[in-house]
Amino acid sequence: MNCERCQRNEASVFITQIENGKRSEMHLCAECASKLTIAPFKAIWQQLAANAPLGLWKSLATSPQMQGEAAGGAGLACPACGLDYAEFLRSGKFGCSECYAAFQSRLDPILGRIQRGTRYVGRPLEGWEASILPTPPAAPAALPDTAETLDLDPARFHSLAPEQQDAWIRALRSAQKDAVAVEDYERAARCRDAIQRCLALQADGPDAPAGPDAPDGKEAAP
Amino acid sequence: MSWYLEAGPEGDLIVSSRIRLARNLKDYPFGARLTPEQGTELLERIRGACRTSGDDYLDIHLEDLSPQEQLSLVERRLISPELLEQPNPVGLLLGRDESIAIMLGEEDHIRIQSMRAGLDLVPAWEAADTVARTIESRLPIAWNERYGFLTACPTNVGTGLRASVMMHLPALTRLGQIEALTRNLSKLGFTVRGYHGEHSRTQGCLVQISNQLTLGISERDLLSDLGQIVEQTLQLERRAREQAFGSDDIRTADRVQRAIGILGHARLITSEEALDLLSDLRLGVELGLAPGFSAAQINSLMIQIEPGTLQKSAGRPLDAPERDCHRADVLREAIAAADRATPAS
Ligand SMILES: [Zn+2]
Ligand SMILES: [Zn+2]
Repeated sequence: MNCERCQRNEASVFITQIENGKRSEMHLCAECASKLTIAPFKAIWQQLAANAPLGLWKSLATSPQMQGEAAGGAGLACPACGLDYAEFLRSGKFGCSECYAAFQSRLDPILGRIQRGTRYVGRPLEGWEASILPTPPAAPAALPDTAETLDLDPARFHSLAPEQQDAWIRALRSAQKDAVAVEDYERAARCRDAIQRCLALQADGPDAPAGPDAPDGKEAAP
Repeated sequence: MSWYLEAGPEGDLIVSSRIRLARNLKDYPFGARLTPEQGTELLERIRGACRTSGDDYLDIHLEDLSPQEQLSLVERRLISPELLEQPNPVGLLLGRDESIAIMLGEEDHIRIQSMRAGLDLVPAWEAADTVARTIESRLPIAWNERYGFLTACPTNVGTGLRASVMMHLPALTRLGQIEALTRNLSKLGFTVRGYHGEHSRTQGCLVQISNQLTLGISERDLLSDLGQIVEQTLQLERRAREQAFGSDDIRTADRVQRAIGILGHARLITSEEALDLLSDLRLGVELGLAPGFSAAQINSLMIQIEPGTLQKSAGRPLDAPERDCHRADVLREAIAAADRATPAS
């Protein structure tokens, strides 16, 4: 797509504006975006113009949506290589393979925007067998029933495997949807708060003041 | 045989197919964050695993090569320009026929490349995947069920598979349609680049189309999507050719013969001019207007006239005017050889 302003360069900056509740999107090249005086972002676009070839990622990482994203992930860092989330967004590069687990709670929306989907559907790793994975027998039991879901016990949450934590959050989301469907907004709000607590706990990682049985720390890379 | 020495399926419009698979070892930071010691250790582990795999690789130590030889590897598409810019130790394992090249220590620890002449995506992927499976069975690879193969850049995660096809699109270029093509394909998740990669303008009417998406799609679906896009682009080009040049059009024949004339007689020629003339000559081959020439020959010439490869064959560094002179020599000899091979009519 070409830039809406100069109609010449490839558009790499997508600006969403919300005015009077109306949403509009602008597609600009880095050069034009840097010339526009959209106060808080001008500096970002100028920087972007200098790095224009990095295109897609840069425009994504510095877009207003992702700026909010960076704030939401503040404090997240990879225990193996030390890369923090803000630096990941800035550079568009992971530091090591452990970063995926460290940032997992925030990755899906990003991957959703730059990829076809957020889950792997390719061939499995050579030699990998589904059966050797600890198919967690605790998984179904760990799925919270709704009452328990809302009064979240941080220690219990931390003791869950990442997949189970995700399942927990999914269950909360569907409970929230159900509540909205029957117009029980009070309950929906409690679900929302619980989801936010879970995400915060996930983001804090096992090092946060959690239960005694937090999962083992990952071995640091050499 | 090297891809540039042969003409594959659909070889008249499609120059080559290329697959790249990215793999990383667990327990080491990604390329840019490796310490020199980690980098050296990592390279040794990968070399060791490939050495004992029974496959026969040439183990190329890039630091021992002259800058011209290094550049020539880039021009032959055996390594990326980025490999030469890494701060950490890097290496190259080259299959004997050059159809497989494994870059070590680039942004991802291991990048397996497989190249074929013409449109040959699935066999090229199968060849690369065979190498990948061997490596996966010998080294601890960063992979999980959720995201697949973990890569330094989130744009490669999942299959780690980048497939690209280089096409010759003189009619679409002439009719000014490349930009529209680029725009439309990018909406569908495909990237269009020029002959010299990432940020280059179209040269010699050559265009590379590759997939952007690597996660949420399987390898075979990805290849078949790209194959369909390439087929559609071929149809567009064929239709555009009817519009831009009819096969009996004297102007097209004139263009092709002029290209042969200049290539056969020039004493100085820039790479840009040469690529444009070779594009005209390729068009002649495709339309049956240039007996004695083949697409494979043109593929090979395109590599031979690049700066690094010219200097490598000259055995010394050449400045730009000297290169223009050597380039003209290479082209004149090739045209003369084709003339000798064609019985006079
Ligand atoms: Zn613009
Ligand atoms: Zn990390």
